[in-house]
Amino acid sequence: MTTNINFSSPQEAEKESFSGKPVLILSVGVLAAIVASLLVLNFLGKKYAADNQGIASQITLEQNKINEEGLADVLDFEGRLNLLERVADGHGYWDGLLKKMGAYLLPEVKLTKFSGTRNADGSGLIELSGTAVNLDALSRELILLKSFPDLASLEFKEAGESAGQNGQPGGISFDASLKVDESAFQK
Amino acid sequence: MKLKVLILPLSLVVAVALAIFFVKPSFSEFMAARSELKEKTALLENLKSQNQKLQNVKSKWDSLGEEQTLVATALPETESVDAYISELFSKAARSGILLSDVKIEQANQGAGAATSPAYVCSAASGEGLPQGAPSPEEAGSPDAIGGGENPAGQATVSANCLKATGISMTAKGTWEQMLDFFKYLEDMNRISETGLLGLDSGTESAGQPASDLLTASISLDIFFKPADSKGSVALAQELAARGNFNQKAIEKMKTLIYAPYNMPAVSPGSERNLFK
Repeated sequence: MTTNINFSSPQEAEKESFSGKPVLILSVGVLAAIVASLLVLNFLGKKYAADNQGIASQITLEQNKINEEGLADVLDFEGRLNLLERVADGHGYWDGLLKKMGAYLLPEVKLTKFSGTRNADGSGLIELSGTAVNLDALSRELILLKSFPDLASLEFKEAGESAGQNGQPGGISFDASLKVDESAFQK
Repeated sequence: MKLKVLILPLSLVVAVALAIFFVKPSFSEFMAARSELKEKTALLENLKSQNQKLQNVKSKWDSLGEEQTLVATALPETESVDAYISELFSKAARSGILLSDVKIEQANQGAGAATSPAYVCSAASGEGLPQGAPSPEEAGSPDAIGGGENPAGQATVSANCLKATGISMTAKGTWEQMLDFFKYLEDMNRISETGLLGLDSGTESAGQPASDLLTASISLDIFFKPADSKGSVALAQELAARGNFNQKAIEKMKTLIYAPYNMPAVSPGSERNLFK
C-alpha cells in the first residue's frame, strides 16, 4: 500500500493554480490592453493633428481679415494717428523759444546772430552772437542767461571790443552757446 | 510546464517594451497635439473676437470724415510737396516775409538726417525701420498672434516710422514778421518739424546801422507715409483692445493744426526783439 503525502504548502498550491489558462488569458489581456491603448493614442493623435490643421487654416483666414480692404485702411489710419501723436509730442515751437529768450536778454544787449539746431532727442543747441554796451552788461547778461529755465549748459566763447559807428564805442561783442532741454521748444 | 511558467513574465516584458518604445512616444505626441489644439482654439477665439471688435471700430471710422481729412493732410501717403510749398508761400505772404532759395531734399534726407527723431525711418537701414530699432531678424520675436506665419509682421515694423523730406529756405522780414511766420510754420496743415533755424541781423557797415530786416535760414522736415496695404497684427491687437481710435492723437492734431492765430506780441516786458 502506497501513501501519497502532499508536502507543498497551501500557498504553493495557490501558485500552481495561477498558471495555465488564466495566465494565458491575463498575458493576452495585458498585451491587448497595451496594443489597444497604442491604437487609441494613435487615432486620437491623428485626429488632433487633423483638427490642428483645420484650426490653423481658420486662424490664417481670421488673420488675413485685417488685410482686407476696409480693415487695412482702418489700421493704416490708426498707425498714422500713433505716428502723428509722436510727432506732436516732440513738436518744436521756435517762436516760443525766441519769446522765452526775450525775457533773458538785458535791454543793453542785442543779438546779431542766432543759430539753433534741434537734436533727435528734442534738445537743442543755440549759438548766440551779439553785442553788449559794456563789460558790466555782458557779465550781467551771462548771469541772467544761466537762469534760463530750460538751460542744460552755457558756454561763453569769446568777447571783444567791437567797432562802433562814427567813432562811437561799439560795445562788447560776444559769442555764447547754450544747450537747452526739449522743454525749451515746448509751449 | 516550464513554458507555461514563462508566459506571464514574458508577456509583461513585452508589454513594458511596447509601452516604452511605442506607447510613451505616442502618448507624448498625443499630449503635444492636444495642447497645441487647445492653444490654437483659444487663439482662434481671440482672433474672432478681435476681428469683431475691429469691425465695430471700422463702423466708427466711416463716420470720421473731418479727422480722416486732417490726418491725410498732416501725413499724406505720397512725398508730393506741391501743396505744402503753396501753403508755405501763402503763409509767408500773409506774414510779409520774402521767401527765397526754397530747396527740396531727397526723401529721408531731411533737415537733420543725422539728427532725425526716432519716428523717422532710417534711410540706411532700408524702408520701414525706425531709427535705432532692431531689424526683424535681430528682434527675433514673432508677432504675439500667429507667430511667424503671418507676413503682416513685416507691416508691424514699417508702421512704426514715417519718411521725411527736407526743405530748406531763406526768409527775409522784420522781427515781428519772423515770429508771425514761425507761428504759421508750426501750424501748417501738413505737419513739419523745423530742425535748423538761423537768424542774422546783418552787419553794421560804414556808419550805416544794420537794417530792421532779419535774414532767416530755415531747414525743416515734412513727413509722409505710404499706405500699408497689409494691416499690422500688433496694431490690430492694440486697436481691438482699445475699441476706438487714438483719441489723444486726434485731439493733439486738432490743437496743433487748428491752433488759434495770435498776433506776435513784442512787449517791452519780456517778448522783446532780440536783435534790437
